[in-house]
Amino acid sequence: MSSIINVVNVTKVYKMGEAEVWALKGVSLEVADREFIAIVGPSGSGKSTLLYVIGGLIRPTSGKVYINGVDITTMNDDKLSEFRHENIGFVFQMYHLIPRMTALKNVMLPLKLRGLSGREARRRALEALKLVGLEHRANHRPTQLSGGEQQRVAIARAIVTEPKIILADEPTGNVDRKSALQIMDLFTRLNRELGVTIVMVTHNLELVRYCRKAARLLDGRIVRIYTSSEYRKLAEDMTRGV
Amino acid sequence: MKLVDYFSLAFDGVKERKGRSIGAVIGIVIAVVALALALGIGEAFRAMFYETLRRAFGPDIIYVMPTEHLTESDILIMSSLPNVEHVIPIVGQGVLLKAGTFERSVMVYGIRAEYLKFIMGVEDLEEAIEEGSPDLVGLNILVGEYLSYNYLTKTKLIEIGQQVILQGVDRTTIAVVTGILKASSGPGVAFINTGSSVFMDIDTFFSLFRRDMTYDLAIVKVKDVNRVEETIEIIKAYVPQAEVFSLKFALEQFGIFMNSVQIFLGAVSGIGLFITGLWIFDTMTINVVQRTREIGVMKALGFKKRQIMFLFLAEALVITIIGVAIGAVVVLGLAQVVGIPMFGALIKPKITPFILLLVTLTPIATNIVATLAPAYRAAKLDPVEALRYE
Repeated sequence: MSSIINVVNVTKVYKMGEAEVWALKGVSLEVADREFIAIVGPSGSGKSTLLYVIGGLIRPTSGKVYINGVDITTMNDDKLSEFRHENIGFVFQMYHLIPRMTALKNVMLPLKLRGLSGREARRRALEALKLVGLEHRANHRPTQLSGGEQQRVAIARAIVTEPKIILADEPTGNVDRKSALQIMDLFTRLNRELGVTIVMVTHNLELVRYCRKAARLLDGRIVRIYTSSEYRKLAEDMTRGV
Repeated sequence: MKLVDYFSLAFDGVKERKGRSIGAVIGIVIAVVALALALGIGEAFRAMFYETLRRAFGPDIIYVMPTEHLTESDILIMSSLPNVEHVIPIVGQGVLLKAGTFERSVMVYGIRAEYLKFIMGVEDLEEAIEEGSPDLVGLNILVGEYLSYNYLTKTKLIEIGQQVILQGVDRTTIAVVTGILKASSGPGVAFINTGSSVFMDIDTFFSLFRRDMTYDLAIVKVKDVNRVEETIEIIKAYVPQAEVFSLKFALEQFGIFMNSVQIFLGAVSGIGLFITGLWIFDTMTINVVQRTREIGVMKALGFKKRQIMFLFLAEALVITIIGVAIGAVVVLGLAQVVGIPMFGALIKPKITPFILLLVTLTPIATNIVATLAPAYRAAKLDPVEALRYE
């Protein structure tokens, strides 16, 4: 399989007054097309920073990020926004639905940005909601939905533009176990049936079994990439912190 | 993204923050109404005074007002100048009119009988006589309609043939009322309010009130209206001690004055718009802070900086357009009922299309400017920091 994401020797340094904080220290990662990969590691290891660098929300201090062969680190803000809209869907731990909008309107938002007519946007948004099993909750506002439902609406919003890549930052971090498993089933379906590449940040090792690979980050570096047959080893390494 | 979608999103935002939005809308309505009424009243005054000036002047009239003395020889010189049809000298004095128990301070004008018809705006003086005869010789006087009749008590104050006392500063005389002059509406030629004035023969006037035989005003009627400016210059050359001006000059001067008045009124009521702008700035700044995470989400979805900025500008526009629309309706309604009493009439604000356009565009421009800073701040937000904002 060809690589859809190629992170090459990326560093990210935050300046805190005089001090420098190295969030990423020369990270390289290649993600194949249609891959479902987890990024695991303890808090502060740079997981989310890496995810947002891949998504173009954070510019790396050095290094390159290629998405589908295109270097996104040299794009200006507008180009990067366009590229993100066309290629990437984000799912956040806190769902980040817009509270005043119904589930349907939340899902329609990226399509409105694309300039689709109201009717077409509505049709496609309803399809996306159907895919996540929430067609019947289309006219509910986020406050009227459970955490799991809100996250599924957020997933519908992420996939409605049919992106090649979904970047999920702790997508199950704020839902109960049953909802978490539903969300992981949904990701697996999206990956297997629609061929969407998924990069998921998690610290929940139970969810890693849904992924084909797991990249383990420690102190701003990828220390190892584990295949599904090596997940027992991953658990041991995580426990020992090596 | 389509324009309609920006405004749809903006309208949702306005609806979500009903309290602040309604407050901002009310502020805009008040500012629009205050500005429109102030300008409308100014416009109404302008129209009224323009009309008065037109009545007082006429296109073929030149006014000659002495800064020193205007004598009979000046009148004769002006009468002989080219394009001058005739020169009407006028002289006036404030006196106390006593007719039985009735007393009133009035202006008594000395004028030649043949020129009074011109002041009255009639071809034949008989047409201007309500009662009696236009016999203006010796101590005969003509009095205005409003002096002869009390419209409140519906009683006659002065009768034809009645002897009245005219008490000046240093001279008092008895005169006989030979005619009642019809009142014209508002001040007429030479700003003389004929309905409330007294007219007597100019030679009698001089012998009683003005021994030096100087005139207060001369009205020059020209033959060719197209040569008014040229005639003014000639008169100025021959009568340098006088101010010489025509309708055009008066309108220009009055226009300059009214522009200043309207700018002043507009500036004072424009303070309301400034305060509204501050309110919008405050509202939108709070909006940006409260919606920081939403801005982060939008950026993650692919919204560009200028699109984020336009979303907030659209929100300010929606609030402003609602306020301006309500304000315009209120203004048009109030303009029918409110007014300032003046000259016995109610001067109602004159809301012209220009005023409507001004009170529409000014708040829009003000509020867009007020929103620029918070909108720019929203557009510049770092998406990841925005998403993590608590």
